[in-house]
Amino acid sequence: MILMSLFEYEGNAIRAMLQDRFYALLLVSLSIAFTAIYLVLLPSLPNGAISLTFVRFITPIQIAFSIIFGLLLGLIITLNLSIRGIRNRAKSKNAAAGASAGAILGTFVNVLCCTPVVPSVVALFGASTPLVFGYSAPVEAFFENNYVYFYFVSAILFVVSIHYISKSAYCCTVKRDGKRGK
Amino acid sequence: MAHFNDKHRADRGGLGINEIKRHRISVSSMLIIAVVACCGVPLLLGIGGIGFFSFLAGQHSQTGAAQRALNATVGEPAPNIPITLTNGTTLNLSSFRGKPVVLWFVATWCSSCADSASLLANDGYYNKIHAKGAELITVELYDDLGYSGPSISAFADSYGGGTQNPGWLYGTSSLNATYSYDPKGYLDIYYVIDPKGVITNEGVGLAANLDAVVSSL
Repeated sequence: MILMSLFEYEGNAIRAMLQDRFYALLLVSLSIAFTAIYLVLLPSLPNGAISLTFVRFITPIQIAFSIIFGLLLGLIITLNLSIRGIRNRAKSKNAAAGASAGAILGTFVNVLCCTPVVPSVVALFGASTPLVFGYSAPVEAFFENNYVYFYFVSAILFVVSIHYISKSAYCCTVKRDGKRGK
Repeated sequence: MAHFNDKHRADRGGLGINEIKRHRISVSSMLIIAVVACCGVPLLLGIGGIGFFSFLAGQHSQTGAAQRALNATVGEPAPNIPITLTNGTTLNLSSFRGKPVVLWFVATWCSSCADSASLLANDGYYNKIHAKGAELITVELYDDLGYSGPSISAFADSYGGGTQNPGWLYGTSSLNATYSYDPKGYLDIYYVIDPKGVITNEGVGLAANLDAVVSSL
């Protein structure tokens, strides 16, 4: 029941959006653009610099998630634009929170290995040199070895965001007599 | 107040303002909790271990104090450290006086270290460094900073074109040597040392700074 409800809103929203050629083209353009950004960003971040040089080190998982993130982000932005003006925009803030959290998580996790971020954060907690020495590496190793799970969580956050955008447009109309209906 | 709520109730598809506020807060809170849990919990677990193992500070404090006086600093003579090469011989860093040295400390499991080694081996950077008469010494951080990875020889074979390249040495360092050159526990840190043994350049993340390193030789 929950799954049917989930796809009902999203299906309606996407179908309505794609009927307009402008939004269909916008979706394709944004998806390609964001995919390209992620293809460069994900392998670059562990090196502490963004460069095309590092794209050759991209892993198959990062390629797959670059495409997924690109598509989902493109869908979020295009859907949001296509439903502008439709009622119940109060829920769009949840969609924005989900999209932001997903975008941050998906990219930030790659910064947490191999850059000075973790050692610096650990040092901020007043750890002496030998203790920073001993604890920052295992933390970085955790993110290095488990970044895929963070990608999954990011993708879920994007999907939740799409759900809220779709639901805000296609849920619960109000009839003239003030009673809730569909 | 009741009239206000009824008017806005209709606009919001039948939900009362308090219900919407609670729903909005709970969803936002869940999202924040998800992000914090995914990133913050592992970080805090690592930091929390600091308190549990704080007694180690007593063991290391004397060594740490001694080593702080020997920390590698740009503009200062490079601390002389022993490096055990992959062929089993041990050399002191001072034995390389007379030629520039790129001293690069790595954790063999770190992805940026692997990327750097690949760029050095396959993109001509090692050749450029070698052409300038410099010695490239890749040193494994002591115990890989507490997280085991492949041996430095395996690292060299996988990413750095092996251990037989002239002018590119691989080795391991002692705990004190690692403290001297990497007091903050970075995984990928390098130093450029001039022929007189003075550090002229340092940085984190060799891959992103290869051009600068070559031009500084």
